Amino acid sequence: MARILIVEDSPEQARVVSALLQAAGFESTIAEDGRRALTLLETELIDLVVTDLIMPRMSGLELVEKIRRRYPSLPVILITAFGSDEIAVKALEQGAASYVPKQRLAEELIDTVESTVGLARERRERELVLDHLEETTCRFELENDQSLIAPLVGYVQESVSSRFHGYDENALMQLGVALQEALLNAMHHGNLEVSSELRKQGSRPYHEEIERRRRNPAFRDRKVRLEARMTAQELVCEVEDEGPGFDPTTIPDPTDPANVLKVSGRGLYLIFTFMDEVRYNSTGNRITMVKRLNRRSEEA
Amino acid sequence: MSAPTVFDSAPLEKLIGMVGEATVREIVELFREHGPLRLEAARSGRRDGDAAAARLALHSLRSSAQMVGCIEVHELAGEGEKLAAEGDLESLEAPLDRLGGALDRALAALVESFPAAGSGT
Repeated sequence: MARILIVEDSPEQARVVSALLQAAGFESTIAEDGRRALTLLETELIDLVVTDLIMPRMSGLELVEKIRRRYPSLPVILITAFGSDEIAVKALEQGAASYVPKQRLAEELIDTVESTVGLARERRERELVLDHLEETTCRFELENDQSLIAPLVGYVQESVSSRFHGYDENALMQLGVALQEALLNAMHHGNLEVSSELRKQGSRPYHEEIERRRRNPAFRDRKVRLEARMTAQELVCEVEDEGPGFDPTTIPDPTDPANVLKVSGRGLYLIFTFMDEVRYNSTGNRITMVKRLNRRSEEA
Repeated sequence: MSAPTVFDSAPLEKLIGMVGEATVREIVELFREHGPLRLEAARSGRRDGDAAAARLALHSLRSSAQMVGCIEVHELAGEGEKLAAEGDLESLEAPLDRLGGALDRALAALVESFPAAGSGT
């Protein structure tokens, strides 16, 4: 049986909510404000939170933000009233799962709670299965079309996020940046052999040259391959191009912060900074990047 | 202009069908206890120049009144809440006075419809 935490400063409104939940077979406990709710969440097993928005001491919005940070998989349903619409929108943006207008509690609360609890349970069960997933490998082959990079990176980030629920958002963003830089390097410098030096003349000549070479038979059929292999411990991304490669020993020290300011070194600097391990093959047309994946809950 | 409806029993009757009469009586008792306290909190907020406190009390009163079908209280508390949200405490005095009368009428209507348990009525 799901256990619901009701956060409501008005005793009679809290009683209405608890009575409706009880009649539908849910257990509930009441916190009179957000602070008390956070204290209860530390000690009680709660499956879902139903909260008012306008309350003394801590608003529902603030509570949603804190719950989202501390218990990312705990769903929150808002009870909204006239005058709280703007806060409700912000709270939904902050991660609240759904809302029920106060004047329609009797009609809509139980359906909303049941569907949200069902979704949360399904997610938890999926997470349970994913906890036992040993390895997944995805392989992609791309033509030299830069517009494919963002959705591909998004896919990889989403895979990490699903597998490692609660994975740190900032680390996920950095992982995406590193992967994006590696894919851009493979397309522009590897396959199309456009030098970063051209960028010194400005972005326009650089991109015009890229477009020319994308149509040039000498370059256009070259592909970029990405293999993303994820285990319980790490994500290994290999990005390979079909260009002539280069001597990796000639790369200036990519961990030197001075390279951040160089047009040609920026991408590599970001890759080396954001990934835990980076290496090239001897011909310089395949980069292997490793990111150790520690769950946020384990880091805390 | 017709007088505002003081009390509509429909919301509570609907609740009775869902959670039972005993629980609804309990909810009514809670409103009878806390409704006047919220009105007093709104008055204190106005007197002390604390618009946020007045708004919070009126917001809570308005929502609770709606749940138990006290329509006039719900509407007047909404007017007061709007003024408090705008920080217009000066203009809040008259609506709060009207709200006091409306709350008395609403509580009387509630007692008539849902006599307190053990009151013998």
